Amino acid sequence: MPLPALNLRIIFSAFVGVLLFLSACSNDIEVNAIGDPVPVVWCLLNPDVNEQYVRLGRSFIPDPNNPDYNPVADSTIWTMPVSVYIEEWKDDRPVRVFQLQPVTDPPKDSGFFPNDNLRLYKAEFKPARSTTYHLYVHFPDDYRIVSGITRIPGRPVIYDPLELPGRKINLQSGMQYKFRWAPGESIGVYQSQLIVFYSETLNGQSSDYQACIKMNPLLGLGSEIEMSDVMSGYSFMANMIKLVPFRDGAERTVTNCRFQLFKAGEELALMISPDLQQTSISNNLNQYTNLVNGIGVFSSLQLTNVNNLQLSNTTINELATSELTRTLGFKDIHGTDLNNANDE
Amino acid sequence: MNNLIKYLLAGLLFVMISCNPDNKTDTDDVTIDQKGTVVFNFPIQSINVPASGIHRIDLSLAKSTYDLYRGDFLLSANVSDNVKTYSFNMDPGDYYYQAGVTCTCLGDTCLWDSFPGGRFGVKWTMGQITVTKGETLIKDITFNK
Repeated sequence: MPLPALNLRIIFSAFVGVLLFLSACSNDIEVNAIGDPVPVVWCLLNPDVNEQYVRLGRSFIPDPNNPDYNPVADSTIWTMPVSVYIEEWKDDRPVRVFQLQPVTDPPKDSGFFPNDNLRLYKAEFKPARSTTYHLYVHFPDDYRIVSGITRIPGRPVIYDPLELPGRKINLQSGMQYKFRWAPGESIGVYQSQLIVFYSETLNGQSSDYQACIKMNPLLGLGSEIEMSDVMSGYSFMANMIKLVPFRDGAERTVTNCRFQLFKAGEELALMISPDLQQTSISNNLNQYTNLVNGIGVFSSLQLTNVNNLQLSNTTINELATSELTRTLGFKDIHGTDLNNANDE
Repeated sequence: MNNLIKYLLAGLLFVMISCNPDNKTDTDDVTIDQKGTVVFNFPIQSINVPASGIHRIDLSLAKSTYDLYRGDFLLSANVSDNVKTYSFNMDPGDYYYQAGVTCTCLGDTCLWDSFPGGRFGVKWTMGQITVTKGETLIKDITFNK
């Protein structure tokens, strides 16, 4: 064999070897490389209503030199065909499939993103409680499927307040009311609110209004026997001053109250609590997700109402007579408007 | 040198005394001492109906029987099915209380436990208490059978 031919073969083999070595050792996967958008999917199943929605957007790279710059519309939507469907699972297999269709009717959230261009998909079905659902967002042209799993919690049980004739909520200053409920399986976050309904008479015209006092969200990922949230009388009175507008000459009467308890899935609890987030790629984006091949949240939200609640006599009288709230014009339990009576 | 040590020791003593965290500046203790406490023991008593069908609905205190009758209460407890005792810190004096329970059992079950009118009927009890300064009064609430 001639020497130059041998050299050429050795050089060629060495070159191929180096190429193979270099390519084989490259284990960097650029998941969020510049120009590679990630689907952003939001879906909160609600077992109390018959319409379920999935919101679909896509990530974009903000301009680091201009952080206030809003993204152009095209950079936040998917123009390729998308198939969105939800499976209901029982005994470890799908038993029902719901195909979601694009809709444009409901008003979408405004804010940073151009609201007209966020894609919204809808299906008409009522999710069953204590049941597992799988979400799929399929991009056929891109060979990509975003998927997620969530479990709808069981029906919540509220201990206090109860709608009982004669039982009242006392929120006079110095007292506090404890809202109590049973934590359900797969529930991670709770938020309660008290809505006070009142009628107002001004210049002979009567109207009905409401004041909504919201409590802070509570995380409940543990195995507590009972969950509770406390509203103090001071806080109630301060909120009433903030929420009920002063109108000169208005006479107001408290009609009744409604307690509302929002319960959301564990996924939302993980999202709002950075301490509870597990290590994942999404943490690099400072964003929790329970989706595969995308970011966002697939979880559930449900609401329980307790209606026809009454405020105690002491609370009504304090609203009517205390230094803090008497200017609001609420009548006491005997129907006396002390504020306007004194003016006369 | 000795003078310097004396000054240092005096300074240290002064700092230690002035930083004594046990100094009571809060006047709450004084206020509480001027008050008395009443603890209501409010059990659910049922004979002919399940206890889960009876609910506490009211425990209120007034300064006079007239105020009690008119509903002009001084204090009301946030009664619950899960809480048995209720305590109030009050100025010394005579007070009048009322307590009520209702029945939510179906059919005519509530009539068997003497709830007037049956379901959602209310049993009431009332009485007088005397709160004494610095003392705790324990009051058991009972209803007619």
